[in-house]
Amino acid sequence: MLIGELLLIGLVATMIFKLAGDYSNSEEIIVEKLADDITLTVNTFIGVPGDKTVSFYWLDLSKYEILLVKDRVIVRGEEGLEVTKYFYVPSNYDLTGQSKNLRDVSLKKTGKKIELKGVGS
Amino acid sequence: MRMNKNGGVFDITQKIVFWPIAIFIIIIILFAVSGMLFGYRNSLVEIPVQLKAEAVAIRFLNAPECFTYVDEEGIINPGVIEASKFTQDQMYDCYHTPGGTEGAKWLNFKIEIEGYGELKTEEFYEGSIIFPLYKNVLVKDGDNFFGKRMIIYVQEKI
Repeated sequence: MLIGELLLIGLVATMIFKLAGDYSNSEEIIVEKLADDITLTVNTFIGVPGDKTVSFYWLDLSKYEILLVKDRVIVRGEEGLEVTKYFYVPSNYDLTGQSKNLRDVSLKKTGKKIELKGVGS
Repeated sequence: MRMNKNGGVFDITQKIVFWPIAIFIIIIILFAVSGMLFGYRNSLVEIPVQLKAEAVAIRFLNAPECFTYVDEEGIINPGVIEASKFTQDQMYDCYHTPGGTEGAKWLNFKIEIEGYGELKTEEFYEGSIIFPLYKNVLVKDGDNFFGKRMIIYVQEKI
């Protein structure tokens, strides 16, 4: 009967480790963080005059698809997860761009246009 | 009562009572651990609302689409507010929240400059301000410049 108790402890420990592993490697964190970072960058671009370029990212983004449109950014992960973040830009701004299966991403502001580009393979 | 080491009625009864309770408690613990991990992960990835508000609010000081003074040569003067641009229509053009975007969180603002009144974004409602931001600005009124404080009240809404 001691074997039963040992098996149960082993099962519980395995489940807890699996839970922890799932959360730490979650695609949800990366997708959410990436969308938030792009939103922050767009808002900062609007608030700071002049042309500028910001390159992302410390992580390989080739597993993600990023779409930038007028009032939102959409980030899609490999496992089908999709996160949308909204921002509110002055009416004369034009936001555009897409990155799919590319390693790096950059945001470029030229005048009143903000463009998202994927870089690399 | 001494337990029979070889197993007996009492030993079996003990196990029948013990195991369902133990399994139930273990399930509760697993749910609790799962909830704690979920909450911890969310706290790690969440961007503080103060940072989000600062990122948006800098446009009120520096963006010519908002209130910033642009001189005759087209040079943008960050931190200098053109008094004639400090209007509600300009505010709506600078920061327009369409509203009704389901599930989205957005920020509402009320901006005050002493002596020049206050402006609000469309969805701003009184009574639920999270925090203020204080900015020192110059206000260009005609040919004169005045040092003023701009107070930006921030509100977060879902």
